[in-house]
Amino acid sequence: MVLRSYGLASQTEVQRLWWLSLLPYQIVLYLNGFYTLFYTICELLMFIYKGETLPYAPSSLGVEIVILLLTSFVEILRLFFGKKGNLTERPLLVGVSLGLSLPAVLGNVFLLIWQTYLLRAELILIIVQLSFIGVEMLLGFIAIILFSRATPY
Amino acid sequence: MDMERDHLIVLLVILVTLLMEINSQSATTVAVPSTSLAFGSNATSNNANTSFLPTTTEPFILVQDPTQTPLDAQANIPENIDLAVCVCDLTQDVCDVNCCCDENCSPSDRVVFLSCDDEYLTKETNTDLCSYDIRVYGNNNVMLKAVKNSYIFCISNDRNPSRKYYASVAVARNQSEFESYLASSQSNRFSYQYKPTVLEPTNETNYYKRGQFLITLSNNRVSTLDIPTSVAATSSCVKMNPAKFLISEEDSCTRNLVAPLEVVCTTSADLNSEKLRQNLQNVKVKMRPGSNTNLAVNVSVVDVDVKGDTQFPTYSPQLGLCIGIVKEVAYTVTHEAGVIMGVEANIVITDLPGTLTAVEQKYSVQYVEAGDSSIPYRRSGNPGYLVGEPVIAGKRVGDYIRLNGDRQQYLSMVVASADGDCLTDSLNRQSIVFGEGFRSGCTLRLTKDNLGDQCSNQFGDQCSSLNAYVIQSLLGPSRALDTTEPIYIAMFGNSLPSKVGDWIELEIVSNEISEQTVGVSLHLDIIYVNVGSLANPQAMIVAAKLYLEPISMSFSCVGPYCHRQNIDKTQNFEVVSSVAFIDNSLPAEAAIAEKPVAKSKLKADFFKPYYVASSSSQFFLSHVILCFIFISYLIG
Repeated sequence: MVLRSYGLASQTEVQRLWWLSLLPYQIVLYLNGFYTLFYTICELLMFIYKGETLPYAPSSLGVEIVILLLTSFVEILRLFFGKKGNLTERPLLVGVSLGLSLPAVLGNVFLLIWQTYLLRAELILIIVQLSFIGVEMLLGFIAIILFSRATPY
Repeated sequence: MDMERDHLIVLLVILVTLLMEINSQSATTVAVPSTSLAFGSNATSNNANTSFLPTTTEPFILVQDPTQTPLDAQANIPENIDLAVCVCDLTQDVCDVNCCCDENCSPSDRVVFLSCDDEYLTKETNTDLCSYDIRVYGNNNVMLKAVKNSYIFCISNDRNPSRKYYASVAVARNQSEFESYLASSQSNRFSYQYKPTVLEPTNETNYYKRGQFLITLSNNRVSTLDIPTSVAATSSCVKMNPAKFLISEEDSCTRNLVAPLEVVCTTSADLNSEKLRQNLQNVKVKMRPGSNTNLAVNVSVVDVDVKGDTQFPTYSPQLGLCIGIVKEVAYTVTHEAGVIMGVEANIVITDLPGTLTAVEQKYSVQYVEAGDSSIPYRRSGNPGYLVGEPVIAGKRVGDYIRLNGDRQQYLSMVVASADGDCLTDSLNRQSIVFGEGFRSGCTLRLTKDNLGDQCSNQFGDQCSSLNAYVIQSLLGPSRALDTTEPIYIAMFGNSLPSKVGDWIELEIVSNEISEQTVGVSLHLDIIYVNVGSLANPQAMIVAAKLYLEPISMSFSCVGPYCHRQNIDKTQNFEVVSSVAFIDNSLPAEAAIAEKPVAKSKLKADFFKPYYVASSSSQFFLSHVILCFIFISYLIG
């Protein structure tokens, strides 16, 4: 165990012997941020492709694009709270991140199952994104448990 | 350290699972297993056919089952199904050659198949999906083969399969459904509808307006008064030309008969004057478009030159004539302030040879204001002559000019008939109208009789009366262009006959018409100028000259012509008459503007240090030279 101290930390922080923040959780969240950007751009391009080549029922293309953008927005919030919660070791923030996982999963499941045309490239993108979310949910649970146990009541 | 190792392990697990996910995904996209289905020859494979392509059998059942009505069949068209399963199966219950999907083909039939026509007739529809079945034609059999699409943008999940199929529609069974189909159809159609806007009288239309169709009731049916006209290409009569209020029409057209006139003399409804008279007597014309007051048509039959009795029409075999054929129908509509006061129909009948297969008829309608029987004097322009209006000419009687009652006969020239003869009667002469020059030649056929007593008694003499006859033929029997009295031509189209000063005398230039010469050529030069504003030029006749060109000719008395027995032998003389309108307008004078002068706006002391207005130019020049030297020094 390496004990580090830094001068700006508060008195109680300095007395702590270890940090509870999960490095894998942080790494996955960090990578997922880049992936979400990539995923959103690719999805938007594919919506343009589908809108040009395939017939859509009125307003359904618009609805699908809005759902994609909302999902991406939720994803950004989820990653933000996950990172902050992990770094500050606050179970509440990680909990918010876990709570936001539900709409993120829902949005992805919509795009996976219920959107009008699902391209194979989209399928891969969404599966990867859902895998990210799944891993982060697992790690988030672990983090909440760790942080909660360490927090003095 | 344990904690960090734990973290690493977790991260590794995550990465491995991620990779596995991706790998499994790519595995599904790469694997292309293909299955094939044989169907066709025996009963079990037929079952397989129906089970794998459940929809394919339905159309056949619909066609083959006589108990089902076509209406049910239309309603049962399944949605989102490619119905073109076996388009080459055209003969029912018999094997079609080269049609592999035909269930009626036995294996022994298939032996002779050279190839399968099916593949040329059916197209795969689902090729943009990631996995789909295609029909494979081989071994004279159709097989289904699953195909995996390797395209990255293939459609993995298609929740809108109907995009590849026509929307199923119901059969229109009533007028409103038909109209809705018509309204929603995208294709352009020719409009075949005749829009009877005028035929629906409303209370608002209490007066006929110009151009409105005359509304008639014949046998209680609302209709229009049709004036047959000629079609441009064929000149045959076309009935669809309703009489339009206040638009006078007159047209000749040809009735082409199915048989010679002697056969259809009494049967043709268009030629039979009696039938036409009866039809017209049943026609009632509405006084106002919206009212229910009707007027009967006043029909009168006019015979010009009909031989025979009153039983019209008949075919007279001894004369070879069809008697009482409709030659002309002239409607005269009397009106007052948009209300029709009376309609008269004049049917002019004639006799025609029974050998004709086409009859020319003339139909006309004209509108006369009620209570106005006198024909108003019509000007030829106000004030300048209008092109196409007759040139006004008359004889001077005292202090006024006497004009012919028929304005078409003010000045006229002889024209030729179809066979080149001169039409010397007054009705057929060509009126001289302003601005339209013309030239006509025709042949006079003269016998000794034509030349009168003076000539007939002196065979071989050159007759002076021949000359008179030719001039009369040229100038017309009404002698409108009689050269013995001076003819006055109106300078303006609205010149009053009472103002003699507005009229110019027609100068007649005739070379000496001796007993040896005959005037066979008539030429009228009318010189006019435009006066008034350039925007509204008014034509004014300033000079008119008539040339009579005599040439030496004689009624030859050679050979048989000199015998008394041959007194009715004709000799031909060609005569020519022409009219020319010469525009002698003085052109407007061109005014050339002054050349613009460049005015210097520079101040007098603009080149102040080098050149002052008061200083000498030498001073300025020296500075310029200095500058030049300086610049060349810099460059050099």
